Amino acid sequence: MNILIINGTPKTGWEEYETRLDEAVGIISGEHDISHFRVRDMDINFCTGCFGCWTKTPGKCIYRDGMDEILSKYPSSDMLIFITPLITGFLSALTKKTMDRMIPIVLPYIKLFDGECHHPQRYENNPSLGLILYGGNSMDEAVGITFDTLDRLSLNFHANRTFKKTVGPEEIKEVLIYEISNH
Amino acid sequence: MKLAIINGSPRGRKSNSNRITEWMTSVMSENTEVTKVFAVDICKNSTLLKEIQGCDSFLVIFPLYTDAMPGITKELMESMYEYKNIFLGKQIYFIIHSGFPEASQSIVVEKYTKLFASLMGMKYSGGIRMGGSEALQIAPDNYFGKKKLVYEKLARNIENLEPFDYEATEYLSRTRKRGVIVRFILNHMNLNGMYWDRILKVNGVYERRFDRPYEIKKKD
Repeated sequence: MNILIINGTPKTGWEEYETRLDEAVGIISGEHDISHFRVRDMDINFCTGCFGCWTKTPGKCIYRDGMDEILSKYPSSDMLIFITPLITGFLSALTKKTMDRMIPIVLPYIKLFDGECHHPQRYENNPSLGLILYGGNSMDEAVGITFDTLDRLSLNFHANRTFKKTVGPEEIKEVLIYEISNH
Repeated sequence: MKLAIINGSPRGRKSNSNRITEWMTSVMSENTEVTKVFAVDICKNSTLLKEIQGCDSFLVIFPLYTDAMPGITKELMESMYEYKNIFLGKQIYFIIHSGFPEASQSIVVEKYTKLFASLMGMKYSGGIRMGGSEALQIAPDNYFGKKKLVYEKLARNIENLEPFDYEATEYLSRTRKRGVIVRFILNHMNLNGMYWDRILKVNGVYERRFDRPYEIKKKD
């Protein structure tokens, strides 16, 4: 299986989680093709809302930066997993800017899906969508809102399945293996 | 009264967010001192937030991007948290607007703005979530008629240090029910598509509108 991981963890404060994640990715890589992107180490611009990816260079952003590498993995991915700690009660800015830059995967047009307007897919592939939150408790309001955001995103990304989990450092490997094996 | 307008739009001064806040500031009295700051500047230099130290009220406005605030707005919020003392105990208002016609698409991020106000130790004094805002790029003021008047009313709420008016909030934030005709148009008549197709043709890329630049071509 092809798995695309977008990791929006900031540079400091989450070292134990990151070490455990690297161990887990190392183990899973034996069976699956994993593309793990740490956004903090990449040159990725904020989306400027120019819609050039829809109207000037269809399917491609006007910026040539780290998003090219991420988006090149998307069409063949079976799973897209966002990994982030909660920062001020929500997805990190690093994670959110990467999500914004993914709009080339949909078309500019709007259609009704279950009575609500969304953009149709550009690619035939619609990987399942996952969110792993470092820390947090599933009963927290911040976690609930962040999980709900992923549910909203799954509608716009046309994901066929979603999972959302909070993890402690010692749970990362177990959660990743479980979710991938239950895909 | 000192008001800080914090514009979270990636489009900065050319944004729909800026147009909405200009409607509001145009009816404010001379006694209201307005300072505008923009996320596009603060993401390069977060110390700019010191410019709004001493303000009584804060209005944060941003568009909906991929189901929440834009990444640049989130970075702005993280910077605001670092300068929490500037904001502690002050009033905060939010305006969220989206290109989708349904205001309801912003419900989740609206919940987050309330949580953010709480984390900042601020007094949440109202929030608007408005759909259909992309028309602000092209339509003249008179197209927005009542909406513009309602924003002017909200401006007076801010000047009076009072919460956003309930009816005004409901008016701007409601999701209008679609009749059979509108649903038919959306499903079958491609009016929205005509808008985008026109731009694609002007840019000379209409034939490439469904391009899949990242797809790996399968060999025969």
